[in-house]
Amino acid sequence: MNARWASPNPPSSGDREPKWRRYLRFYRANPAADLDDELRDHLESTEEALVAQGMSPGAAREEAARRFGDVDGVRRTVQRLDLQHLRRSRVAEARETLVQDARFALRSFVRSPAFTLVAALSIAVGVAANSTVFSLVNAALLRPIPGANATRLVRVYVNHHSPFSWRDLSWFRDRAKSFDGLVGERSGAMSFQLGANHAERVRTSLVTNGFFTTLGVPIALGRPFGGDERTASASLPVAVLSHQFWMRRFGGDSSIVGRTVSIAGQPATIVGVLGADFHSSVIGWTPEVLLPLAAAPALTGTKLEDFGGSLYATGRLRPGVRASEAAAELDVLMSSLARTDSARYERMSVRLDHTRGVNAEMRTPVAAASAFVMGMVALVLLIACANVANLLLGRAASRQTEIGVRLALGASRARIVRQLLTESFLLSVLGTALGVAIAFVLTRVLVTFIPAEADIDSAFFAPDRRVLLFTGVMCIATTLLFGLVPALRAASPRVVPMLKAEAPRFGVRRRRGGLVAGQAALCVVLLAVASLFLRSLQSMRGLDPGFRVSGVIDVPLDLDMAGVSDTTSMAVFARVQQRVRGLPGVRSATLAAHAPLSGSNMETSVAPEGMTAASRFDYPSTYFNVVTPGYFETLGIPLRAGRPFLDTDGASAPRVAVVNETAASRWWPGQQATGKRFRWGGAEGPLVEVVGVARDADYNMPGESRNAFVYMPLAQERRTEMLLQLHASSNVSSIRDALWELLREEVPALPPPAVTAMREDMAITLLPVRAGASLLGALGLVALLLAATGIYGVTAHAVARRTREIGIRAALGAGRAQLLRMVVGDSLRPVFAGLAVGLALALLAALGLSRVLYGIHPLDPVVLPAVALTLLLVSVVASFAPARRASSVDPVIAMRE
Amino acid sequence: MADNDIELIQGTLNILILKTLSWGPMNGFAIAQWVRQTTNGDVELEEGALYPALHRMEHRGWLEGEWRLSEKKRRAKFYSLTADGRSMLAARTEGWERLVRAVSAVLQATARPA
Repeated sequence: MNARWASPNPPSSGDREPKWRRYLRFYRANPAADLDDELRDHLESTEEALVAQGMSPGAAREEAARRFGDVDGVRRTVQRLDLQHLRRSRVAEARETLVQDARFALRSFVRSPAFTLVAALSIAVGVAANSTVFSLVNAALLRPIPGANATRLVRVYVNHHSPFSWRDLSWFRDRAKSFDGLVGERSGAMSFQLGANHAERVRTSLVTNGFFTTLGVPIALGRPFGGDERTASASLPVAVLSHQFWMRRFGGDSSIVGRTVSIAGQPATIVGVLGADFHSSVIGWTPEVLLPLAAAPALTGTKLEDFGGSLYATGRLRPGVRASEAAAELDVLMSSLARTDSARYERMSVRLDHTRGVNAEMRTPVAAASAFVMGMVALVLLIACANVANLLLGRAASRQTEIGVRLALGASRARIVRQLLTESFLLSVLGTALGVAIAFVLTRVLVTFIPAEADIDSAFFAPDRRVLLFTGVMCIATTLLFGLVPALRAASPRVVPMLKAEAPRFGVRRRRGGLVAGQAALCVVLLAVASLFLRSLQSMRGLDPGFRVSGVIDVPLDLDMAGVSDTTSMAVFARVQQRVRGLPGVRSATLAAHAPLSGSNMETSVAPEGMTAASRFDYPSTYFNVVTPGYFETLGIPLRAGRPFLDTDGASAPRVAVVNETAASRWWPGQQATGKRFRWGGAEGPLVEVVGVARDADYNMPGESRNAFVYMPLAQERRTEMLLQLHASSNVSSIRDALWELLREEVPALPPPAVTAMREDMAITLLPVRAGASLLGALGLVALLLAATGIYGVTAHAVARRTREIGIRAALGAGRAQLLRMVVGDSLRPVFAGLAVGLALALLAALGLSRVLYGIHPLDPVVLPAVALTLLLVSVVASFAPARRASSVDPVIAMRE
Repeated sequence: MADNDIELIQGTLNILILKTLSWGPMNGFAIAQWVRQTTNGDVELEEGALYPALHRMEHRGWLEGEWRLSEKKRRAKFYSLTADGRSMLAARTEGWERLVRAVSAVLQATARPA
């Protein structure tokens, strides 16, 4: 190996390249030019050697080229090799850096477990809130209905979002060529009875031909029903049970298949059990028993033609057919249907839609609520990010010396930023993993709030792949949100002051103050919105709905479900009402189609006499109820004029109605409404005479603006499903047995009805507000906690840094109380700034929410001051502990530090 | 290329380059010339083939390139052996000699295989 040193004159050693040229490579390496130079050197050297041997320049050039071979080929090969090498070494370098950074980050986490824990928990809380809410949004809006190859399924609506009538759906199904199947589902309830057991009420779905094959629904046990509707209706009705009902009611006993049960009082055979993950083609509906629609006439005595628009239609696109093509075909079919009966179909259209999430009719409110709640949880995540950014800034301040040394030793700024970002990312991953775990638990806990009988699967809201993707994106976004600014700041190239560790660091303090202010602002917004919802809920409860609530008991009676025929139902209702009035403690009883403020209502249009409208579609619409004599007495609604319904307002008597004050004043302004007449259901409807005017009440929402309302007598507006309402001095439990006894004598197939206090039924209208209030309340508390942690962290850090200054002040005679005030005051300054901004934002948010708040002005004089006070109080508490520590600093020790 | 030229396989080219550079830094032209002169023209390199080999060995860390100006003031890339390159040369030399011994033993055998 000495040879190298022993050869002072290598064959072709030249001068070294001038030093300055090497700096060109710092500017930009140019491998292509380098290679050209290298090859040119070779060729020209050969040429010169040959010329020196006596060859002519031209021949020398040719010979040089011949000896070299394929110049272009060599150039290409070498270029490819160089490029490969460059790529490989870049990847290797990056990987090495990453591993190094990750290892370094993990070591630094272990060194400061308190920081790591608080930061990771902050992120976990933010991520958990977001993932959980997004899981709900995913289930409610984004996830398609389950089934094989579900992307080929489309929903078909009448007009914008309405279900089909049997007649129209059959018409389209028979003609549309774009579908491999077009099926409908109608939700309802029937009585279900096995052997000598009590009948019970079950949720049912009546489905059309080919339902299971079209949707690609697996049957876990037995067989689906399919067959021809006519033969199905002729023979014994068949039924398929939901997996959940089968497990709950029959303990998963497979011998149930083939058994004959009684459904709606008629014998039916159970032929199969559904797989666990399919409920219905309608998201959120969980029928317990599925029956062929064709069996409906046999079970309920209602002809298919009379069902009205109640079938939710789903189609499977034929392979190769695009949704737009199917929609176009439906449009063409619609116009040809309209030609068959222009009066009936004039305003009807058919619309194709996706099958993701809830039905189109529910989508707008669900999407609005989702967006609102997503916004709120995003605020929580922002607050959490501010918290972590704060912690990182504090940490960066205490790591200034370390980073300064590294910069001084030649680490590039980019390298340090990358290292700090890696640290942030790992922190984010840690927090996100924890957050997702919490979200999995939370989504399952949320399901337990839904009654078990609703059959909502515990995994219904569980995070799926889409949620995990969302969370992954969130993880990266949060890293950048909380990590970028501290990393850039920490790596700022002011090395010398950093090394001296005596920089004024006003920048850091101001920035951290800004983060605290931001947290405070977001916190105020969240707390304010949550408080508004809580106050709104409170005032809704206190509002007078305009009818009697206490002492009223509701008992739903569905004679349809119990298989009582249309013709006898009126007599049954009359007898039941008569006998119930005789029960002990019952003061009065009535039957109504629905109870006000219970989440359901009915609407139709009326054509008041004397009013002319541009077209038959332009008559006023009104909510209405169908009731029996005794209604106004039972519900305590006073009549302002005229008379209540009487037993003489029978089926053959002239048609009569009672309207509310709003209807009276809108339709006949300035006139006496009693004695006036209107056409019921539109311009072609029967004439009805107003016999009474009832006081206004709330019908859909507590505190709503006044709505027109019409009461119709049951005797003239027959129904089979009514609500028995009693005004009783006795309570629910004491009257339940007597009622049940009476009802079983009258309607043997009737399952035990739910006997509830009316107050409980009304809870459903408050459910969205209550759910919103509790969710926002929880989020507000979390935000407050996060903000408190942030304020505590900043104050503690400031105190630690100002120990010497505080010591000097103490030595100069500052009292404890004075120091305490100074530290708390300093830490409150950014909170005040945040409060000001937050209050302004909260005002805007409150004004935006004014439409969903009831009985409370958005600028409620209590809410905002209370929120501000709460935040201030929490801030003082959070900064108090570090301040106390500061005030007890021993000046001698502090100044020696 | 004449029939009696020794065909250079990749590995052999590498070992020739390593050995040549053990005398000191050289550019590609000098390496080719040195090999030709040392073998009295028996080994005539296709000179272009040198460059992929040189670059590959540089990527592997056996050689180190350095830019200098030649006597004619041209930019020329000079290669020199690294520590890795030197130990590679030692290892390859030993391997080559073993191969030569083994092949010679076979070619010079006088006894017929049993």
